[in-house]
Amino acid sequence: MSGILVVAEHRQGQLRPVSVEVIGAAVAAREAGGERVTVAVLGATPATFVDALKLAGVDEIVTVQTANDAFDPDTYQAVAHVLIEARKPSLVLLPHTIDTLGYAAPLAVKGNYGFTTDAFGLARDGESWIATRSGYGQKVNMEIEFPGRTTVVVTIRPGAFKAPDSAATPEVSQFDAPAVTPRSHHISFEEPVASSDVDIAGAEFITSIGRGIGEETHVEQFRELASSLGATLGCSRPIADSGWLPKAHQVGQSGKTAANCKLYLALGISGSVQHMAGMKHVENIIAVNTDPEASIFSIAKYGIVGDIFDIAEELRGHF
Amino acid sequence: MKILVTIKQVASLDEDFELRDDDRDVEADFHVFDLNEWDHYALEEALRLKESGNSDAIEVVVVTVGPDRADEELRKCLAKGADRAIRVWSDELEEADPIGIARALAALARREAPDMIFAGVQASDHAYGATGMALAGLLDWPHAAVVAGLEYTPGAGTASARRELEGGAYANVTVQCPAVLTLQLGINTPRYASLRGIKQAASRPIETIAPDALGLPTDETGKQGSLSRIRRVYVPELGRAQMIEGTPAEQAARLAGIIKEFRGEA
Amino acid sequence: MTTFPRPAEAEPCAANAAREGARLRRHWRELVRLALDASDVFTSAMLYPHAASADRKRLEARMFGSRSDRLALAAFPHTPSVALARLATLAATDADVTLATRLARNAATPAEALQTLAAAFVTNPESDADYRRTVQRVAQLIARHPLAPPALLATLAASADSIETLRSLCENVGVQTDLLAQLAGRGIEPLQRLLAIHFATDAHTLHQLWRSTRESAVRAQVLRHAACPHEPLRSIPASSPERRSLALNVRTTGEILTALARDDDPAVRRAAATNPATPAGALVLLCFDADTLVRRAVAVRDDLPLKVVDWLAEDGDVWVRSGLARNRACPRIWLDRLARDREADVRRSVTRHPACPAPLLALLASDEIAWVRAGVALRDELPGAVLHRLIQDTDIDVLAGVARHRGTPQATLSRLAEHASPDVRRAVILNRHAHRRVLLPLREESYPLHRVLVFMHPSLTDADRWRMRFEPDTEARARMFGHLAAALDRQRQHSAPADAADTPETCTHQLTTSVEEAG
Repeated sequence: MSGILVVAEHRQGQLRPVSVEVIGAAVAAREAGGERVTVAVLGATPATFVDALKLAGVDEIVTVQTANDAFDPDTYQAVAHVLIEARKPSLVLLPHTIDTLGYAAPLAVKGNYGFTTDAFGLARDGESWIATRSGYGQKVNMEIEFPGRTTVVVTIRPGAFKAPDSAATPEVSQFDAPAVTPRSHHISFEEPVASSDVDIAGAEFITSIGRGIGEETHVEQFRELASSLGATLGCSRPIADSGWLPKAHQVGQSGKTAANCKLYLALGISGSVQHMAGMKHVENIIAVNTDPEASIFSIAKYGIVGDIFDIAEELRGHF
Repeated sequence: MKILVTIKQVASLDEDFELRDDDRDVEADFHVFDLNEWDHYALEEALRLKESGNSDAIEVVVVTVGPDRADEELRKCLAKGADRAIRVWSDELEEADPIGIARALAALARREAPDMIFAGVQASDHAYGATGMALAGLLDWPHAAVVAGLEYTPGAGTASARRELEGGAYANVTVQCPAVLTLQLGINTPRYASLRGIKQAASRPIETIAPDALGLPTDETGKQGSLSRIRRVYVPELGRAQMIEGTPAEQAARLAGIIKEFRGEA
Repeated sequence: MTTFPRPAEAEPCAANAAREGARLRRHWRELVRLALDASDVFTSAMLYPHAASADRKRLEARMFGSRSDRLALAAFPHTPSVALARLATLAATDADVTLATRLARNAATPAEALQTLAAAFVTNPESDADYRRTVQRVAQLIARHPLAPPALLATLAASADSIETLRSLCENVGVQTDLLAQLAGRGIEPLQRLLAIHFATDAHTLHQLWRSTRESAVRAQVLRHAACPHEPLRSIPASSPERRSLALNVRTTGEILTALARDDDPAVRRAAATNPATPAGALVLLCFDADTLVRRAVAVRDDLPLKVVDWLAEDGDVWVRSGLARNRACPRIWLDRLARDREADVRRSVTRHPACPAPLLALLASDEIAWVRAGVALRDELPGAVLHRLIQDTDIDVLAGVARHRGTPQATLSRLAEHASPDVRRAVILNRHAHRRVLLPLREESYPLHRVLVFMHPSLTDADRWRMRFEPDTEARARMFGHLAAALDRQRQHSAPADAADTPETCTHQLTTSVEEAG
């Protein structure tokens, strides 16, 4: 039983909530084996994050002083590697985030640790760890094993685990960072620009309408609905081709890709290959259609078989 | 100057599929293949640099690790304007995880000695997000992941990258070059191949090479070069869309809840 | 009077016909060869309905040779019915329940194929739990299938052992009145609301449903139904959903509608505002409603009295004014005012008014907001001067409207066919009045969809389409081959009698450039 190591993530002076979720995952994972849970935090002033990490189940917090607070992959990789080699944990948990996408794989490769990403389940099989993640665009679950690896690195899906709900008083110690010469440097942060123009590619929440709306005169109520939901209005190709909405609203192969979209509400869209090409990658798709076998449901996370006018009218009342 | 773009032929599933008898994957008959969506963007970025009118010609080379059927995706890239295409394969690579794949790509990269390597952030099938950065680790090259904007003068010692963060914010970073970058959707608008390009690509040669011919030792090939193994695949209870039932009022109430929850987080 | 061809004329006619026949056979053989050589099976499937015995066998061998190909065909949206029917037989023979599931899901699978699948899978009970679940899924998919014949649906109803199958039956538009009555008679609670919704449910069954439940959701559906019996419509119910439904029903009395127009619940008032049977007096009340959604509903009624128009035209809500601006009940004098509204959406709506007069179109064609100008470009009829002005525009939405306009000169269309925006180029392709000369260069478009749309345009000749047969995109090629094979059939029929003056026709009846078809 060599312990579970968690590496916390912070940005612009704030501990990111996903870090405490990963701690929850670590605490849940050790229940069976009774291992020590250690949380490491790096930065120019790592002590500022220590209080937020004093959670039930954490045995030790290790602070590592590095040159900057801002993330760079070389620093995180080097520190994590040295920590792992010093403590020899059997399991290393990181959140599955934009930052860890930059350093987790190189870390695993350097140390030849077992490795997988975006896991939402952790279990033991005897002495070994098993991680569960999705496959084929979330259509199946996959159990991953790490034959012959004494240390396993897993990145944890945000939202999959709950943070511990009470505090504790773990030991706090310092760890000397290795000398690192980063090959990339953080310059600045930039907030997203709020634009009044239709920006399908940049929009996080898109509500799209399709042929199901029937007539041009119905477009307005859905424009108004999208506005009340706080969503950018999108549409399928036939709507744009008919001139019912400006082309800038069109999502699909010959329109725009909803590149940054995280929530896509498809109203009266059947899901032609053409349209899905622009949005099938979106993590949260909700589809409303009268046809229960509409292709859009095969890529949606939630589906409503129903009349979009009924649903829209009811939905409007909530906003 | 040479830019190497690594691509993947991804498998998606139509409705109603079956699992393999050994339960370690879906039955092959149900795979529908296509080029990874992220790779369109990675290739486009390379082609733009190629066309940016610098004095030295830039060669764009696409490479994939995959069996015969992956040639189709390489041809799509040739049709769009890539200069050369290479496929690395041996049967042992069937059992390779993303790290095993990265080892084969690293062997190829050492041979090609490119000036930049572009990959997609992740693949649309299993979304590990590991192969590109594992390649960087194996080559020990400077790297950055999730690049949504790139300013790079071919041959320069550094590049400026805009990394897309959670919640729509960005981090501006500089990266030493040569570097491995994984590129995000929306970094550019990928072109469509011209009809002529498609027809010409049909007869262009694709170099096929085995990992051992690239000097990759057996103990780093396929299963042995991997850091994980799929033990079992199964269909979760709520695999398909979760249908929200009830009257329209009830359905809309649930929908409103989902939207509000999303907006609360975002 | 009968005439006989003079001997000197008869020979050239027969020779031409023979040559034409040989050409068609040669083309057909080439299509078959291209299909068999293709890496996908879809092209072969598209030729299949037009093939005679020897070719049919070769195509079948290609199409059904491997299981993965059969599965792919079952899921492909354009697979012809005869191919789906063959696949159903194969699924039954091979006991391939996954193939059966895909076929049952495919909306084009014909009735006899569904019978085959039902006979092979659904009516044979199996003990294995997983298999039974899969078979239930097949039953459910057939139960909701639009082409399932009534007799089959009745059989499924009798043997259905899952609530999902019963629900699918209740939602299937092909289910007939007597089966619906029978299902209602079973008294299964989750089905009641669905039965109350089904358009074929008769008054007797509706009455029974209404009386047998206190569920407001079910009763509300009864009250909305066109065949709702008289009794429920005579009194104002307690629950809000029921009052809303009553307010929607056109057979509700004017007296009750007037009362509902004063209901506490804005959703009920809104429903009354949309009901054509709501008396004018109540409308006057509703146009002052505090709830904007109610006033918007009033604003789009085309039976608005003028004084209501007057009141609504100065409404503070942009969507009310916008709805009014495109309402045919809105008179010229108000349109003039609304055309100068400060909100672009209102001005755009004026351009969409059915009788928007020419001077206003001219004014709005110069609006500072492109979306307003684009509304003008969307109109079928435009004065020449206005169209001419719009042609000079640079905005993509305006140009797309121009590109699709029947009055746009061909020279302009040719120029727009080279525009950088794919939306503008596609609008040219969708213009039914575009000449062949304009369209031919667009056959080289990078988007497969555009190539299909060009292919389908009535201005292209059969010879033009024949030259597009080397299409590289799988789905585009499949669609084209379907049309090419059908065209060969038609030409074969025409060339059989000795009509030497026959020229290749444009295939208008089968092709359409409507956005519906092109989807």
